Amino acid sequence: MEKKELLVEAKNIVTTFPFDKGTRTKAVDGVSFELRRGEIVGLVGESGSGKSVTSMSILQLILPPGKVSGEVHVEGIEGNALDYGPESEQARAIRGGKIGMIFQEPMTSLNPILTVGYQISENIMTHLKVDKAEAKRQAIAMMEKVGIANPEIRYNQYPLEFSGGMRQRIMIAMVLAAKPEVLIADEATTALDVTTQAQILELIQRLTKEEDVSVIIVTHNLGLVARYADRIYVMYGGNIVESGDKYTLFENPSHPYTRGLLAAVPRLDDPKDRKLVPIEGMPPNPAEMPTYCKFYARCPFREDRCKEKLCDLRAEPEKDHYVRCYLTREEIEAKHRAMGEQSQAAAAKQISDEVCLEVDHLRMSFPLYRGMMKRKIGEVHAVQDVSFYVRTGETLGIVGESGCGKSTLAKCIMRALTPAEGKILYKGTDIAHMKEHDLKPIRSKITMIFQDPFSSLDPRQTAESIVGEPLKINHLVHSKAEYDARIDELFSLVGLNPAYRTRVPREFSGGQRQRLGIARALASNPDVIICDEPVSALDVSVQAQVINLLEDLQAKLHVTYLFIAHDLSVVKHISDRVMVMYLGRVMETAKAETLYENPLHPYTKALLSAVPISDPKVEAGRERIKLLGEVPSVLERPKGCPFCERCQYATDRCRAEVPTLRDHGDGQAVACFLYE
Amino acid sequence: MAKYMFKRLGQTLIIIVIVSVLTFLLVSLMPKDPVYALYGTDITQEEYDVAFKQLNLDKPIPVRYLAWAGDVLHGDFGTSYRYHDDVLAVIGEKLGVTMYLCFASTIISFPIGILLGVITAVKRGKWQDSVLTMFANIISSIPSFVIAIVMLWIFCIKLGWLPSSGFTFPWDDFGEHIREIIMPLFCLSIGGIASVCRQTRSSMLEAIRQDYVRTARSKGLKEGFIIYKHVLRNGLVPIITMIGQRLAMMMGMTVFVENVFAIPGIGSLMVESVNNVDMPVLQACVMLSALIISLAYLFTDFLYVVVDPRISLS
Amino acid sequence: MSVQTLAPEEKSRQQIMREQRQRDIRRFFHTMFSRRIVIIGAVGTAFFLLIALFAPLIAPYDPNAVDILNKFAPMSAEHLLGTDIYGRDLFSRLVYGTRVSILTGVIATLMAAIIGCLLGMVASFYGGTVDKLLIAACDTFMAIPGTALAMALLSLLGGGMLNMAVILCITTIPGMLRMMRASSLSVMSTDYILAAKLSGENKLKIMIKHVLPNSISPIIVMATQSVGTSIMMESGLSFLGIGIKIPTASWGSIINEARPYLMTSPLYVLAPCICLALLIISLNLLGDGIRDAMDPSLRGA
Repeated sequence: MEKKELLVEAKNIVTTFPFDKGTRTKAVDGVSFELRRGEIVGLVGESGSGKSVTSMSILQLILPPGKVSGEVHVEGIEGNALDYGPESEQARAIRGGKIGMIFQEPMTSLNPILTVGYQISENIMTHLKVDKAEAKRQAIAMMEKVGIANPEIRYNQYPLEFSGGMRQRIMIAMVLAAKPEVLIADEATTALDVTTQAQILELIQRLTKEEDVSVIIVTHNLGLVARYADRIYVMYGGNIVESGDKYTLFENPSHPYTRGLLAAVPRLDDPKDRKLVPIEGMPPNPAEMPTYCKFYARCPFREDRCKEKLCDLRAEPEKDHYVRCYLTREEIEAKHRAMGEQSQAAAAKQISDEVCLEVDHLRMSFPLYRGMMKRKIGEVHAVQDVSFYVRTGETLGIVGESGCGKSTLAKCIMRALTPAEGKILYKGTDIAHMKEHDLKPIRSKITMIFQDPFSSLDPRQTAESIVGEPLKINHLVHSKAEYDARIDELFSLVGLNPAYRTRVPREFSGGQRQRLGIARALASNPDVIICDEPVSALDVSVQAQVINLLEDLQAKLHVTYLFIAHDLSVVKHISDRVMVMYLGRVMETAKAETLYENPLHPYTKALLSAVPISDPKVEAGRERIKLLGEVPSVLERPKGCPFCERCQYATDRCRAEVPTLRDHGDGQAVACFLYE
Repeated sequence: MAKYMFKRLGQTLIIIVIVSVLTFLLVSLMPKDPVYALYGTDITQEEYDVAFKQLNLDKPIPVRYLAWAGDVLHGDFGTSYRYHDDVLAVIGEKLGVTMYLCFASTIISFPIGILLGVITAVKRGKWQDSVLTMFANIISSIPSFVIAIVMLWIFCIKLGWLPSSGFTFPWDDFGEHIREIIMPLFCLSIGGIASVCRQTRSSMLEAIRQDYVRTARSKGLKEGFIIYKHVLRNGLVPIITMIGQRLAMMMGMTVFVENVFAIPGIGSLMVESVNNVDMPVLQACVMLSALIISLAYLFTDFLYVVVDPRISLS
Repeated sequence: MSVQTLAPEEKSRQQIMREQRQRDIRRFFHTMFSRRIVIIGAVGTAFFLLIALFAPLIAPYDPNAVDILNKFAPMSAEHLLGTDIYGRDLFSRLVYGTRVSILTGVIATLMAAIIGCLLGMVASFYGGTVDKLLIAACDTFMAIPGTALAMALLSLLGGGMLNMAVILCITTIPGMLRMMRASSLSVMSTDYILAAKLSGENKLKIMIKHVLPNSISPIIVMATQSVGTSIMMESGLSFLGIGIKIPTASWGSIINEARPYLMTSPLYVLAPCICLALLIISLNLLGDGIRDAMDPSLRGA
């Protein structure tokens, strides 16, 4: 296969930012890569790996005091683009004209006080040198192409009038309207719902092929690059540690980091008892970035030579496969075998038959007010008629996209909210409408782990008093000595050094904070722990540490989990049974494996197909279900089945009647008329 | 949008009513006897009783308030204790003088302040920024009457360039008007310029950090155009909220400035009525300035809605 | 499982805590004085504070000792800045005036900060009608120009230092209340407050233990800036002759008294003017430094 024309070539890019007094830290340390016509290249790395800084460096979007050096060659531009300076005619022609960029936050990346139409036209007028009317015509045509209905009307609307997915479509329209040759999508879909994410990426894939635009996907998500990219660069600590064709890279990962990452990420097609192998430790601190291999401190295969100097990228036997490691694949394999089988099966846990928590026809709605006198004009039904049970020692996963009501459900069970109707039975006692005073003993038995490890810990309290608060409130300890002993025990239980107890939250890393949150949830010896997106704010390598911890704790302490998350792979990995929610209703419940192998509800199928699996071979063979539209707001819930407007099987009955959850054998239940 | 403005109008009305209650209480709570204040101390007991009845002083306070509020709605603020004349007549032209000063200095201070703010924000970290920022910090720390006195000393006494006092409307004698108004206007505006400059700088710097500015850069727009179209327009939104606030500040500051330069405005009148315990006049002055300020806030909010689509949409 | 190895020596808990506090304090002052101009502000403030504190030792004369025969004396070794209309020593009066200014400014601000904090917490804690009433009260006060409000209250309560402080406090409270309300509302919406609620903690305790410490920093910043504003207002009202009354030596009342003699003895007027400007400038520069140091966005996370 002959090589296509080179569009962008970056050589030895170094981007530094000032750090403390006089010293500079290298966010990007000698990155080189190339992009050829028609390619989709993936730039993968965790936060702090320098992947976004690299893409911004190419476009010279790094502002002083940041500094970029190295060479960037762009097709059609003479010489090194970096030599022209960020404000030069050439650099501006590259930005937007040759290379367009889409950013992560669709909510903030568009100017809120200018119409979307203007913002698209602005780009067209700058690069295609056409007049206003022509720019408007092209902008409207482009808006239509990215799937925006009524583009003439929507041209004059403000970003606020669009949903997150629609704004990202606007961004795509804006970038492609100037007819660039390269599109950089910098975590462009990270903030979106799974099904929307798939829609947007499919759109990018289709449009770029049509318009002959090459793409750089910058992401932390291995599954995304396995599905969409052709070639992949893996970044760590500002270096490219491995690069190659996606099939080669996933089949024969050579760098210990790439190997570690693949072992740490849960996959949808995992066997039931797979135990994740986390990468120990944390990404390097920018203050103490080593001059040698950045992965040294976390590498299980490290040798003394690794510490001498940074290894150069060296070729592996496969075509175009490069790796930055002194150890050959054989050496690593040998060491790995010598260290013994790491990925043992998950610790055995016992699930008893006793139902620990049962929710029965739960409804929760919020009043909607309008006008000066705060007249009630209606209700938002956040949770509608939800019933389920969890057995002691079991993990029930609850998945759903935004607006599905999973967080409201959690808050109702925690009794942060009082449900409108229905029962919440904890060991047979209905707590749904209990008075605060009577709830107190129950509060120590049902606890919660929060999503955001930063906002869920009081920044002014020490680690000890955060973890110890439930002990004191519930009078679970009777002396200082007992208190100290219990704190030490809790710290060790979650893998934190008890000597850290006097530190304040900001002195802990994200993963450690989440451990603190877990210790707090464990303090009062609960029976049920509600985990509300406990790992979604963490980096993938740290995610595995926390998931394993949760699994170990369950085996050890026999607690019950209600695991709420939007990431289906994680939920499927940790849960025994999974409940799928959509717009406040339960669509399907099933055992975790059954759900993956034999999903019944059309929504479950679509959701599963939207989640990419980090294995290109598996990906190539998967069926992709195209969904109509986006998740509507809870306010616009259809009268019948909440999914009817997006479902390809929907009948008139679906639009008029709400299907009830029916048992389908083997613990599987589905709310769909197709299976009556 | 219309609903929002309607709601704001309602809030403004409520505030005016509360202010009127407070100012009414102010007079009622004063130990000074209004009858003696109005008719002097050497009146007979019968005359006193008649006046007492006439002023509704025999009725409970809520009744008196309603009667007074009714009069106010008809433009009758009562009789001045000092001038024994209708309060509105006493205020008369003075309100015009003060309003002229305040509006003029608002009109001066916003464009200049915004311009300087833009300069400091664009040149952040450079010497222009440090000098202007430091200057703005220092200027806004000096009380306006101190600036007024120092100016008076320099330009009137030492140099003899400008008159020390008085006020002439521009349509009466334009040259004289300019000579008289330079110093008061400067004193009133300089603080406003400094604070508008500081606010513009910080909200511009805030806007520059936003993601949409990065998007604009990624489109290859010229830096100057980005500053104008994407940064300044967003940065100016919070500046608009300052208009009402600045006008309130100026209405307060004008008391000192009018006092130093002997300008016959509301400020001088208020000082005089405090010194003479002329409560009806003070009451009317407070009410009128609260009314003007509330209207300014209302206008500000209206502008805000026009400029920022986020408000009318959410 | 990843357990970071810790330094082997097992320090006592108190010791670690103490070290930590010291580190925090050092970092605070480091950020605060990172701009050199803040040092000028701190030195200036300290200078005036010392003068106020040791006024009796510094002032060569009783500030109210009248010596009619020696009025309008020029600058001399005997009278550093000369004498005023009643032959009182101007320097001594300025020294004692420092006390009045700083005392009223600080007392007014402290009271306003405490009351504003309390009311702000009450507004955010109860919400509903209580909140609406408090906000309406703030809006009302903000619709009246500060000077006019102060003048109206002065005419009701009369002048004097304590009344002055009370009046300045009243004009400062609405801003503080709004700030505290906004700040505590944002703290109350965080997950750690929810966590505390869900562990069954008493609501009042949550307010004191979690909400107050986390929402107070903007109030502290505001307070450092409002001392200057209060002093400005006090001197202004005294200058108008309706604030602190003669013969108490306040810079504002000295300026008021001296105003007719601007032409003949400018020093009499300008000296207190300069003192006033210098004090407020110093206070505001220091306040800016404190704001920078307390701004969480600048603190290392």
